[in-house]
Amino acid sequence: MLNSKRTPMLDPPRADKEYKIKVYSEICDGCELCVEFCPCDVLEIDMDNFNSRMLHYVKVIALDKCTGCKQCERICPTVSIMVIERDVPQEDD
Amino acid sequence: MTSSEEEWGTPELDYPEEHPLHGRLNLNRFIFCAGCLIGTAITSITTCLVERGLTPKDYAIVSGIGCTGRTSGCFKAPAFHATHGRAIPFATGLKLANPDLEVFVLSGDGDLFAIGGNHFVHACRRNIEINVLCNNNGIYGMTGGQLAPTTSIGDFTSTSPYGNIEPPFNLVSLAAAAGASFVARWPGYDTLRLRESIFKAMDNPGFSFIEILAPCFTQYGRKNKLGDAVKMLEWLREQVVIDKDCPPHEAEYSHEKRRIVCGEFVNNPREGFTQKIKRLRETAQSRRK
Ligand SMILES: Cc1ncc(C[n+]2csc(CCOP(=O)(O)OP(=O)(O)O)c2C)c(N)n1
Ligand code: SF4
Ligand code: SF4
Ligand code: SF4
Ligand SMILES: [Mg+2]
Repeated sequence: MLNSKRTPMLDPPRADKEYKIKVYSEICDGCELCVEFCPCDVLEIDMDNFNSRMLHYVKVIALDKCTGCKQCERICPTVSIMVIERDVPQEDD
Repeated sequence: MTSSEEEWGTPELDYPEEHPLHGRLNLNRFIFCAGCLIGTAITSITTCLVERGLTPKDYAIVSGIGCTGRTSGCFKAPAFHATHGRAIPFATGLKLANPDLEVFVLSGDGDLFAIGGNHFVHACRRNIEINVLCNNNGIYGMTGGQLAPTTSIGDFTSTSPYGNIEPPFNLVSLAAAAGASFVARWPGYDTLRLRESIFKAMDNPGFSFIEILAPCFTQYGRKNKLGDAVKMLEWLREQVVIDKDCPPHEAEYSHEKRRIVCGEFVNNPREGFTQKIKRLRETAQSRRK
């Protein structure tokens, strides 16, 4: 991987951005694709809750590990997960 | 550095109650098995259209019959659920009547290459400006897992209980040989490269074909004992080789040999069919004067 000569397709993670993950639990099928494809183990299937279709949906377990790659958002077959990006608020002195 | 959930300002700002794609997709009509990449193909097309700034009146979606055929119902746009195998003829008619429309065909391997195979080769030959995306799962998913023209040798299906003996079509070679001016093949999980190709297909002034590998775990996976959605994607990933400079006739597609070459194989823009019709009409009218 490290020796790959291909140009990366994504920009590297940025320290000046932070991310939040919105799960539309009603339309999530709990298929686990986002859980498997997330490179940073941010997501997990919530085994305690289910939606009105009796399906366990995905939940965020480690938001601080998220790099904002949006792989979860792109792979999701039901558009149930969205990554929201914003600038890290500047620390006022 | 990440601040906690609660510090994130007003909820209306950060959490749009309305889904961002609410105006584009019927979110309650994703009726596919949980984890089937057909949904990912729909969202990939939609996000590309949104990124291009196209509104639902600028594009049309046509699908045939099958699991992938059901995708037309998911789009909030002019979308046509055509008869079995006839998605390309419907799309051809649409494009000829309204050449400004961006026309997408999203259909299954059985629909496009078994009953509709004839239409596919002729659309390639004409180089009509439509974008055809084939969701290749190597089986008839919807009707109970019968043999498709894309099933690999030795695979078990409900109509080949002792293993398939017919060699499959290589869709990339077929499209290139028939004259398509843009041809690509990507696994459905490789969403970044797939999206890049969808943009190129929209830019190509001619017939564009993208094969999307989206395994069917419900039918194909069950009969060949390949496991669930996630396990089947792992199985596919082990066979995929990305080779962007491979000529289309060498782009192997074989689950038997465990080698599927993916990439963009043809990008040869040339004048499309509606442009030719337009020129023909102009010449005919000038002669009549
Ligand atoms: C004229 C006609 N013949 C046969 C059928 C039955 N039929 C429905 S879907 C299908 C095959 C679909 O296979 P594919 O296009 O690969 O779709 P998938 O379900 O795999 O996505 C068939 C044969 C039909 N609906 N109409
Ligand atoms: S958010 Fe999407 S990918 Fe993740 S489990 Fe739900 S449906 Fe599957
Ligand atoms: S954006 Fe990337 S790192 Fe963050 S949860 Fe999604 S897949 Fe994981
Ligand atoms: S039957 Fe197969 S192709 Fe159809 S939705 Fe289910 S997994 Fe997908
Ligand atoms: Mg099929």
